[in-house]
Amino acid sequence: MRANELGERSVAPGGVVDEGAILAFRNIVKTFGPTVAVNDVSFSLQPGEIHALVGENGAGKSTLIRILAGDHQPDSGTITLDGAPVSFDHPGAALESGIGFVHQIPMFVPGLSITENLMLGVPFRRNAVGLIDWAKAHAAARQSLEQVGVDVDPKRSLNELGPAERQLVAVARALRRHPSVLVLDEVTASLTELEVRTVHRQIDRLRSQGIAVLYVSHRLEEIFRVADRVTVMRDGRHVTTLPVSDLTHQQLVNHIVGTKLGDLFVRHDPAPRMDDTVPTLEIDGLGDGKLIDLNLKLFPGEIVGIAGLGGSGRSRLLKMIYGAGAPQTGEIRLNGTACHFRSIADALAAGVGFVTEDRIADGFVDTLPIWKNITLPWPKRFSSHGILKLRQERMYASHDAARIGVKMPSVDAMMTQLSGGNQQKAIFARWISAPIRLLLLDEPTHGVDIRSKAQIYDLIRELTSQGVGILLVSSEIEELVGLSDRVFVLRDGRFRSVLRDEEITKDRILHSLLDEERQVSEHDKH
Amino acid sequence: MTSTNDRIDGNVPGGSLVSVRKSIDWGSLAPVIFFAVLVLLFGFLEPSIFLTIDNLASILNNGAVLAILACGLTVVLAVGEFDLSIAAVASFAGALAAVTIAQMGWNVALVLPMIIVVGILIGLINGVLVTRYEMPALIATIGVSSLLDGLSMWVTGNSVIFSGFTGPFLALGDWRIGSIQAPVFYLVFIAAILIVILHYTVLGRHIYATGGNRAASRMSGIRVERQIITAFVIAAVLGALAGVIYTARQGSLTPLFGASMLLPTFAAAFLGSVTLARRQFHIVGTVIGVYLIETGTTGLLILGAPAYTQQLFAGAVLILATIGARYRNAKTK
Repeated sequence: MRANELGERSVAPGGVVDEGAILAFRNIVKTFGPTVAVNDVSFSLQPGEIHALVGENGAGKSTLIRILAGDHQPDSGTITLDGAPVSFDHPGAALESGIGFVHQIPMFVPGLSITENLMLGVPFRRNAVGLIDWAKAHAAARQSLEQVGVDVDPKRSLNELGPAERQLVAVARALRRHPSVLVLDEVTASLTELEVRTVHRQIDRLRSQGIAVLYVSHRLEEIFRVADRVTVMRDGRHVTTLPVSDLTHQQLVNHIVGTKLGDLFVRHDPAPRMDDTVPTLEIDGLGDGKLIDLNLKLFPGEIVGIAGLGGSGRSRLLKMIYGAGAPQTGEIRLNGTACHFRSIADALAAGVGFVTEDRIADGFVDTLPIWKNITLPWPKRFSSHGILKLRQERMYASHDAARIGVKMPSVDAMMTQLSGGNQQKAIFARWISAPIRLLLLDEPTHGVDIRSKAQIYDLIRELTSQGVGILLVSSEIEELVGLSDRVFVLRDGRFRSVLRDEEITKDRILHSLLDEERQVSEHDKH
Repeated sequence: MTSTNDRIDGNVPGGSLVSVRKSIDWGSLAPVIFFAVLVLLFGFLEPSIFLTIDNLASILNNGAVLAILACGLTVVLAVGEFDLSIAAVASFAGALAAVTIAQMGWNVALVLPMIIVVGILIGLINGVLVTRYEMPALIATIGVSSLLDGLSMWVTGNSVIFSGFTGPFLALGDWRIGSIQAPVFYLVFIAAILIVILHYTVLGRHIYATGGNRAASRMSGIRVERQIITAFVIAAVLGALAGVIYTARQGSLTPLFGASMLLPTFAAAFLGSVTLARRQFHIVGTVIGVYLIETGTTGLLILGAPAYTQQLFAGAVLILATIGARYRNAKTK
């Protein structure tokens, strides 16, 4: 009977629910005031399936996940688990029913041991006297870690784990409740390419255990690698659910964005360079103990990518150029002039801009309105005789925000009222008409939806057309491939190779990230 | 650029949907309404005493020194730090003035700059302890506070000084225009300067930015340590001035007179941070906070409440204002 009903639904616009599904969303609707966050969404997960859920920020993914978690109640529609309707009226209910959640930043107590962190929320084993039986607890923890392929002593502190391992420990913790459905919400957003692969290998293994995985990610590459099917949401609606094998990358982007975005990465032609062009940035034998003898030239209008794993020193290098760390050896030259920045203010004054990796931590000031965040490095430009011309400053900021297409209620709104992508665009707005020659980008599209990504790429190109040189650090190799004129591969504090033109491919970059052999030859550097 | 063609939700350069945000925010008006209710209540209960020019002027006069102190504290709170030494600075500055002028017969023209320099030094010490030595401001300033109280007792021999003040010194606190006494005019002058500094200068912007997110401010080229030290210096100088003004107005010095002002300054600043603004410490809010407390305690005293009512009232205001701020935060998130 249910099957008939489902059969009819298969033509319904809101999506379909298959037979034998372990988890099914049926016609879920959720509104917040006048906003319809989730609009008649139906789809389902099979046991042992890895099911990706994608969409721009604001497409309704997060709301749907929060409904599943019991944080929100749907206005209408039902969720069924193994065929039976369930209703989660409080946050713990979903966990108890066998749905596990792992988020982008897992909740851990960093100072505690891995065992203790694994036990968070799940009662400790106690012995006859009512005390914790540590021997049994560690044994259970070791078993949990094996399940996700992490080979470390669970007695060790969680601090000692790398980011990929931490995510896997979070997965192991979720698995301790034996869930039938596991929701992985942007779990790889903070990981580098290689770390992502480590995590994916383990996710693959879940499939054989019959666990259905709902995999939310902004990184489309990953979806093709790890998922069986993908559900696309846009503006709160279900767009499509398809096996990933039936899709190309471009088709998926089009589904997500709705209108055709064109290729995300349009090759740009680097500005013609004369033999006597003075490099925007020249680093010569730069080192600080961790970074060793780095040499690089960056010409006006050029984008130089830096590939490196987490911990390779890539952020350190950017910060050093930005005046936030002093080199021990070598020299930094801007437009041919040697620079000895003693502070970030010095670097700014010399025309160096920076977009930080972690915008929440050090990207903006959440107690100041958007416009004051846009002018944050530059209020002096709007002061005469020491008094700020606030009206002019605000106009300038709203002009630049509008030019970049920051979607916001008003420039007087707070940064926290914006989506991640728009926050990032507002941060870019700082530099778009600022007097800079060099812009340092550290993961410029981290956690940003696809449309904002495309806009940020446009922006980067616009800056290069103004002659600004860009030094780009990214964990997304596609981004490096798509944007860079040259790519330097940084490993263990040294540039191991430099790739240009046709050499810039994903394979070559990954290879150099791992391959010890190839070295930069002296004449190849510039 | 293609992105400029996007829908930008009414975000025209210059003009914008400000009106949406400028719709009346009742939460931020609550302290003002409470203030008005207090005035009406006391006016209704004791019209012949409370609603007299003399009484209203005395509320204004009595609150002025407290308000100068609270304004100094506001600058430190705005930069994201804490200053528990500000009242002790006032006590110490008053003690120095009393001892040098009343007992040693020094010239006011010499003493005043000296005390300002002392204020600057104390602020520098607080600032350096917090930035260079990375001490929590709570610990650093409570330590400095205790040191200063000790010094105050030492220089005054821990006894009241009530004679020997010279005419020029007393004149500092003695003049008036109508019923309004000198401290009120000093307050207006100081508050005006602080408002300009905090809202219309680069320094003020940097102070608020540092208070909002230190790491982001640093990455935007703001020398955050410098802003923090500057804020402590401003606070200590204002503390010192408040101490001198208070002593000149009283014409006598009781050692450690500032101690009882510490809590009300915090209560006023925290109440002010949710007045006419969203959780931001600002001068106008602080001054309103001070006078709300002053009005409340004066009114209660007139109604016959005992003297310790001031402590009760200020304590209650501090706690309620903080709860109110929290509640409003939760709502706006």
